[in-house]
Amino acid sequence: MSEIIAGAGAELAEKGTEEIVKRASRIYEAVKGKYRVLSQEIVIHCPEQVQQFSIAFEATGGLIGHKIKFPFGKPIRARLRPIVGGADLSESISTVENGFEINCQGMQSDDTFLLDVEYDFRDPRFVDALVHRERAKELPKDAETEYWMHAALKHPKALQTKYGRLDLRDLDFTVDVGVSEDIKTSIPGAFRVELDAAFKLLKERDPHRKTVLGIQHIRAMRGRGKGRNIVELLGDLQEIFLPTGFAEFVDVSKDFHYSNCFRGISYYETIPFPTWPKNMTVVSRTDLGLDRYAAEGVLVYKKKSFLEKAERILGIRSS
Amino acid sequence: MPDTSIQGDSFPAHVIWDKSETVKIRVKFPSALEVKEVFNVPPGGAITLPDGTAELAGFIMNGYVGLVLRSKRLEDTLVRERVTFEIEYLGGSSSENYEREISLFRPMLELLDVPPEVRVRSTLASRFAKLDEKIRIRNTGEGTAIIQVELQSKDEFEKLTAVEFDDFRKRFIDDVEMKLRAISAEDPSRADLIVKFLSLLKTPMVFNEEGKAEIKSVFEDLVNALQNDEKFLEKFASSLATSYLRNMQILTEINSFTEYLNSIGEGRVILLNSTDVIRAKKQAGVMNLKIRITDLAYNNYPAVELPPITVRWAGSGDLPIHMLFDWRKRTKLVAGAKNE
Repeated sequence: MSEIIAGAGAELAEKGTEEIVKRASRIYEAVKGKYRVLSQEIVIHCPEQVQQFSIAFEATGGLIGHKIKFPFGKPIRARLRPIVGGADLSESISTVENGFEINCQGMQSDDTFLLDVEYDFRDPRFVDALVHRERAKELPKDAETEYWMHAALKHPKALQTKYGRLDLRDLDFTVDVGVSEDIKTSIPGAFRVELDAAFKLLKERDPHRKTVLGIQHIRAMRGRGKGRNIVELLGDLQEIFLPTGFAEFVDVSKDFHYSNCFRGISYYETIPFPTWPKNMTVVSRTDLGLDRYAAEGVLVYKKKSFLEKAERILGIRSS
Repeated sequence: MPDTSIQGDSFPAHVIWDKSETVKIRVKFPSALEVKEVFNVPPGGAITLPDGTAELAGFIMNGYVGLVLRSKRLEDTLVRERVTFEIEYLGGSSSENYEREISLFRPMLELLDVPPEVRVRSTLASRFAKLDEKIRIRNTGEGTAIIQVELQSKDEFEKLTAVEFDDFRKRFIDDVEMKLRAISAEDPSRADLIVKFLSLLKTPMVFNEEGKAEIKSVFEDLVNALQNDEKFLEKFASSLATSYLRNMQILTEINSFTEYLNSIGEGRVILLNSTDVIRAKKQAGVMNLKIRITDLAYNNYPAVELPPITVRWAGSGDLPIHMLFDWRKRTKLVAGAKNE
């Protein structure tokens, strides 16, 4: 019998949680000293690297009119609103040098309130220590173009705190969708001949050779048939690699949702790699927490539609 | 558990059960797989039994366990394996079995034909020399093969980067470097990663085991950093895109597209050094080539040493690396046929 490694990085995850909880606990204690705390939660907004502490409390009367001070560092934003009742509390929060303060004058006795406070949380190692992320790097040749994604908590216990549950919101997930073979397949031979002829023509400086190459280029253009200028076509083709262009060819489902995409950044995207990507990197997002220990997602690459679009741009397909 | 994975790579699995139940889980898997890591178990909570089964118990938070499994690289390029999860309910002494299957795949380069002798000649119609007979290689496997071609014999030939790209490359890299260094000044926590990335960009890629490990480490760190920091992702991607746009000319645009097509072999092959060319120092000589291979999981495959090829070179044109190969699936190649 041998022991299997039980998820490493527990200390780092717990240390990160402690840091988060330290501030949340101070806010909790400051509110608890004056009012009755009903509930609280801590959310880490992963892409923005922001921690948000929300605390719901009831003003049980007697202490309205005081100021509550939170000298625990300046927040990105702090917001107080009534859950029940219509008090306008937009002026009740002010930031001070070392934190913020709540002026309770506008608060009505027996109302319930929600305080949301956001702070910077720049420790990416915390999320890595807490979450295992894995995705399909590619699929077998004849498989459907469905890339799997999987996120799982390594140390769920680290999310259970004395001051409320801690949730991870919008965990970014990148999947490289291979497109190079599809582009290559959609390029007809005549187009490649014309590309080569156009390149030679542009590069040539000798007027006599330029004339000869010009004739070759025209012949190559005729070989491709009617259509737009090759440089314009390449420009149009580039548009399908823009986030707005490529988004229509991907569909993200199950526990994940689509967020963004960009040209792949991989070592095999050799120079000049930003020009023509071999992959498109698709960013999807998911949430993890004590009510979702693991998330599964599927990214469907609509290969057929992508090929049809490329062929339409190149004038191979009319509709 | 996912249903596909590259051989030699890791893949995840998890089990969720009713929190009110106390369970013991046994994971049975073939010898092609191993359990690499288990989440949410205390030290000693995950053990391997003598028959290879992984037994998991004593979960820290009841109701969940996560696993990372890893496959070995196998003889066959596509293998379907089964994993069984046996959940034993300790309260009622009952158990349930769940079976999941996974396809494990990898690329495989097959050398079909290496001509013992070839002729290279320059033509007026082309800036590059042409080859009368090509090396026929196919990727008969299921995954992408990423290859780099090395020239072993340096006395009669030399390998260079095509001049068309040199100027663009230099200006592009200078521009990217300036932008990325500005990002690193703004956020010093990214400085180390940016320095390593720039170093990879500026130096020719060394594709041996050590070189691959360095590439893997830098790009894995980069992906993690991009995943964890949206602002960094936007700045990084924008630096690359604007540097490209600033330095792009129509010539580059057309040529880069041609090179892009040339760098993709049929049947999922990516030729890393497709912009390299071979130049003759002498009119005849013996060319020794070595092909280094990896896949999208950075696995190491034995390098393929090609048998020596006697080359007769007429004219002074350079021979692009991609022109050495014919990746097509057809079985018969007519000698002397033009494949361009």
